[in-house]
Amino acid sequence: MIFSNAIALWLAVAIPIVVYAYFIRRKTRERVVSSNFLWREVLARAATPTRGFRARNIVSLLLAATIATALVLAAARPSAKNAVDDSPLVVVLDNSASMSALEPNGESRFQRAKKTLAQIVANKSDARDVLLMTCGGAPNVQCGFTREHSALRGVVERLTPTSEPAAALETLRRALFFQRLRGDDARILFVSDGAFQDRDDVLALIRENPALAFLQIGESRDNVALLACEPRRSPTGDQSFETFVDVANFSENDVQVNVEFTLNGDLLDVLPLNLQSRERVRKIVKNESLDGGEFVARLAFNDAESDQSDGPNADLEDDVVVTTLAPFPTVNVLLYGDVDQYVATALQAQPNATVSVVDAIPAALDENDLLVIVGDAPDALPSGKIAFVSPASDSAIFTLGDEIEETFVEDAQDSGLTRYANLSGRTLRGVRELRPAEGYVATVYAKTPEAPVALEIAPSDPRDVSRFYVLNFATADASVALQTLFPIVFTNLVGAARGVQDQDWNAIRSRSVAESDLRVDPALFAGLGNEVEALARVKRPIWSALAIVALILTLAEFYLYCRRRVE
Amino acid sequence: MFDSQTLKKFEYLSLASSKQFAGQTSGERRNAKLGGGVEFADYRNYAFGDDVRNLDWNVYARFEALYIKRFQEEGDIPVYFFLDVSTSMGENETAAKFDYAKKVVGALGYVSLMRFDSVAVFTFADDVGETFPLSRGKEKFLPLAEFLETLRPRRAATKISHSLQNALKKIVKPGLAVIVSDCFDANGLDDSIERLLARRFEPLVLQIYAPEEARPNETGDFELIDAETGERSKVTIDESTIRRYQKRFDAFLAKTRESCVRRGARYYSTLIDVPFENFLLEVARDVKVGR
Repeated sequence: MIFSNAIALWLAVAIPIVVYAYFIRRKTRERVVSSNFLWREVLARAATPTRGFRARNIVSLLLAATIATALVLAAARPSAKNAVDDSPLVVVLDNSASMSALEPNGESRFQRAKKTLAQIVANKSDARDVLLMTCGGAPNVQCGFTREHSALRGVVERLTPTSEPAAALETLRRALFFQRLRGDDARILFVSDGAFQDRDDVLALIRENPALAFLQIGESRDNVALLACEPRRSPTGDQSFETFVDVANFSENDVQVNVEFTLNGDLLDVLPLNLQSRERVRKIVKNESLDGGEFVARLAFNDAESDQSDGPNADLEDDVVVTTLAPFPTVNVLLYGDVDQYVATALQAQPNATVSVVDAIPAALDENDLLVIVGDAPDALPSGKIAFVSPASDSAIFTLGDEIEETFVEDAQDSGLTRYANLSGRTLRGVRELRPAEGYVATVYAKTPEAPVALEIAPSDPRDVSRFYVLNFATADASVALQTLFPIVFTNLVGAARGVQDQDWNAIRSRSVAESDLRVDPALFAGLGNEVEALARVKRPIWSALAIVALILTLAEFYLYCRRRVE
Repeated sequence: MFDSQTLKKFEYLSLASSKQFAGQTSGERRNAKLGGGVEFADYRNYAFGDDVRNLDWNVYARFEALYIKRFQEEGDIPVYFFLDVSTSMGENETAAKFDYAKKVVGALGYVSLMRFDSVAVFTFADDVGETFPLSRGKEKFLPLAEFLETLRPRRAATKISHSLQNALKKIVKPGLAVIVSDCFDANGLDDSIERLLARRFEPLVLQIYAPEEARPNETGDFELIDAETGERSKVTIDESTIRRYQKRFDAFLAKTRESCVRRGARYYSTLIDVPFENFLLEVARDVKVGR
């Protein structure tokens, strides 16, 4: 028997009180009468033998105790587990990142969940179909409906945790779809540690669907997580780099931790942090250079015991961020035309560029060559990467068009400090449109004062205008001085020429808060059940039957009480 | 027992008797014997040896026949009180019942003594107990009252018939037999009345009972203890049980009355919450009937 509200069993302490109250009630008052021969005659018709009278008293007492017991059991909402369930079962296993967290015994939550699944598979009847889904990252059907124990065992054994957040809500909705396909008696079992996003929605879904059972895996744990790490070019416009880190302490105690940054195994920097309980900090570390290589950010605890399974850092997977930074090739900048002093100086300041002034446009350009034409665009251009600086508003190739209104940030990713966007294929607010002259199909957008230079050239251009990099400083509303603007512009220009521009290499998010916060609030899962055995077997609520029994017994007891007459 | 005003009231009462008894001494009641009284009763033929002073000479002058005038003798009546002193008369809720019964005996005894009747008191329960001997004269009321004051209920059952049988052995002259009891005798009064009538007594039954005995009003589980036998009965009393008991008690009273009336015995019953003087007036209301 399973009790959904086992705490109600404490009401059993009231049973002796009921029995005691019964004896109080049964205590007869002594009354001396002149003669009781009249009473005997009055009650003679209803009188019963003494043995029967006493037996009724005992039965009445037993009934009272049984009534109290039945009511206590009914309040505990018991369910019978007396039969093996043959109904189809959809098992949704959470293999998200949080399931990698270690339990106090050194076992991970995912290992524990797999053991539970193996137990359910072993206990299931031969006629029961089971569908197995995982929800790490996205809904994934690992195994369709099957009743083969060996197949299910094999799938369970092969399951591995992911580093993705749990798509619990979406997966459960699909599981409900599968469940409804197989009829009303089909049931869903969601095995998870409860660390998932949209938790309120998921719990509401579970509570709304009686066929959906939730099995909570794991105990509440403390954890410190490196939620995000972002090595990037400094947004201030100079040639330096920086690394943004986001660290949170989900433990109940203060923690001292260092964030170590290494590039290709060489220690770049160490950021010491003293995190108070439930504190989350965001820091930026300046880096002189972040040229290509393997960049690693790692949490290092001062206390060696912190990394142990019973320490304040249950999940070791969210302590490290690894990214590969693209190498920076050297660009040969060929400067042609009416070379401005500022332009030349800005280009020469680029650390990864060699600048040379040419008198004539080369006939051909190498892969790493960037031809910078200051002034109007000539009619004949070589193949390769070419940038135009301050083209005339009406040249042979481009025409300065209208200001572009629509926003360019569509896939904005909040890095905590800046809004970072993939500029490829995006339009920029405040930018003038450079319309290609007739014969050029491409649409070209030029820079904005507020953002790095971004260019878009339609790939359908028959003249392969993707090699053109147009820098238009003629925007009337530019609020940034050219002296300040040039380095930024040319840094981006060189970066674009080196092929770095389109890479999303410096935006790294390690974990979501929901996955790294391993604390379990029992109140959230109250009433959802936590019994493995119950999920493999039928749970038949019997509290209503107990209540009916109590009612019948009450009537019987009342009848017996009324039948008591005389001894 | 009584104050002087109450006794004054009793002096106007008389305990009626429908029968005539042969008294020992002169009194205010008609005697069964004819003889030396002042009230003419009958004639009879003169017989040798009759007192010639009783010849009616007027009749002789008219019919020349000798007739003797006979006169009704007046004398006393022996009044025997049989007072129930069983436990049922004086336990707990019925304690007032015994006092009430003693008052009845005392008052009727006083009335009888005032009428120059002889009064004797026999107490009984399962057998005859203390006895107040047959006495006559007003001056005997004080001893009678003292005797009644000393009486206490005995822890014994009510056996009226057996007690009367033994008491009658001690009585020579028949008279008025006043039984003062609650009559809680499972054997009834039939046998007792028969015994008294057989001995030419005039039975007068005064049944006294308490309101709680007639109309119990408490419900619940009780263990009833018979005051006389100590027998215990566990009873669950509810409203319907009380109604049945009341019917049964009414039937018990009716049966007792019927046992008396059918045999010519007078019967009175009263609750002890009825004023004592009222009951006494009811008993003595037909005072002239017997005179």
